[in-house]
Amino acid sequence: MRSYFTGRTHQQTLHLKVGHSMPEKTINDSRKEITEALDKLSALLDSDAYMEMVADIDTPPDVRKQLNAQWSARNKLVRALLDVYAMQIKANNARFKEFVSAMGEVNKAAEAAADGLKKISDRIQDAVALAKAVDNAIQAAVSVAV
Amino acid sequence: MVTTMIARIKFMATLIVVLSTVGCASSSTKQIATDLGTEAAALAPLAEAPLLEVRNAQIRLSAEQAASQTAPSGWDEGTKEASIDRDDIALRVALLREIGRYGHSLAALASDGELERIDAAAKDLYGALGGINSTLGNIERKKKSTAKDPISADDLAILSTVVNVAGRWYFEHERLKAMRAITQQAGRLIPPAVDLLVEELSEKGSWALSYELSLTSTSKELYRRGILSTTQPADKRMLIEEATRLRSQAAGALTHFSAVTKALKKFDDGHKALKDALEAESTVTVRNATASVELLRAEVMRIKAYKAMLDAEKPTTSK
Repeated sequence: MRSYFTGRTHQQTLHLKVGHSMPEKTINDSRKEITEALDKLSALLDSDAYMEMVADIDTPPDVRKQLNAQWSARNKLVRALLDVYAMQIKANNARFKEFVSAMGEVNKAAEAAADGLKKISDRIQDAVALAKAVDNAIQAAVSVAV
Repeated sequence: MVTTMIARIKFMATLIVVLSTVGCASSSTKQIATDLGTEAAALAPLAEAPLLEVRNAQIRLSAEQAASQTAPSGWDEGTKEASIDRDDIALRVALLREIGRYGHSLAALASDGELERIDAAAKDLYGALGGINSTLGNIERKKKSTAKDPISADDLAILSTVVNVAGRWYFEHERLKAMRAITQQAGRLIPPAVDLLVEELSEKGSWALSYELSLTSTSKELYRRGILSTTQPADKRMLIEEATRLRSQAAGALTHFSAVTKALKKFDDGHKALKDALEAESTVTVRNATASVELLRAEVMRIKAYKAMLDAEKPTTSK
């Protein structure tokens, strides 16, 4: 079953959802084609003449039907273009996954380095604790001797 | 006695000069790392909000089209609300957060908090050694009333200062080594990652264009519904006003993304500068020599202050 204005099949949609990319040329070509079609239709539908016909209650039913069809066609183009933007975004998902994973490794290394630096001051703290313990031991020994 | 004092001063001066000029990250490099890290950490939440807005704008468009009964037929149920899904956003946010986390790590590595701990520990060591010295002196004085403490207060102060200077030098040396290794590792990843983010989030990128299209289309939908509305004039006016508001929001949407991409580019430039500065510090250059002199001056000032602090807190030992 095909969907949208672009005529993508369900299989193609699924293909995009799992992160595979369509060839870059195809996505860019679709984008260009849809953008041009949308611009042409928008120029017509955004005009005062179009809005006046829509607002006029005396507009004949067959003309109104045609106006609505044109509006619906634009909405399909908008949807198709949004879909193409999404394709471009999804096409990059695999690269983003790789970057997230690699940056995570860098961060682990950075955090380990920060822990290593903390240990340097810990070592001096250990020396202080040792000196205090030695002092206490000597004082205890002296008091026992006395 | 005078000869001994001169020898001590020479030893201290040599130690300070040698330790200050070998393998330490300069204060300017540490400042770059701190600033860069702080900025990067603040960037992730700033960039996350616009991405969510893009999806929300698409959902709003779908809702308005459905309300106007002008939604395209035959939509795939799975992508009915928005063609950008939560996973797409989550991946970009995850990368921005990792960059932010990296910023936090850089700032933590560049922080002088641990150096303050070393100062405090060396000062405590001075007190603890003073305690042993006094205890031993008291024992000796029980045998002979004129006996002195085994080590003079000045020698204890010098010993403590040496521990402090050596501890700080070792810390700075290890810090420079770690920062150099980490920025080199990250330096291979950050430029392509930022390029990809900038390509997507720029004014001509898919996110910004998608956002703008969703907002302008929703605005048109509301405007059309307002024109067609046969209900109360107040409702009609409300729809048209909302359409106008969305149109101006769409105009501002591009600057929204532009700000994020500019910040990302600055982060990339800053990181490259930091990496280069850390690498340059391993070679002898005029710039480094100047920096080393500055570092030395600062270090000497610090040592002086440290020594003065010790003098003020000198324990009572008999000579």
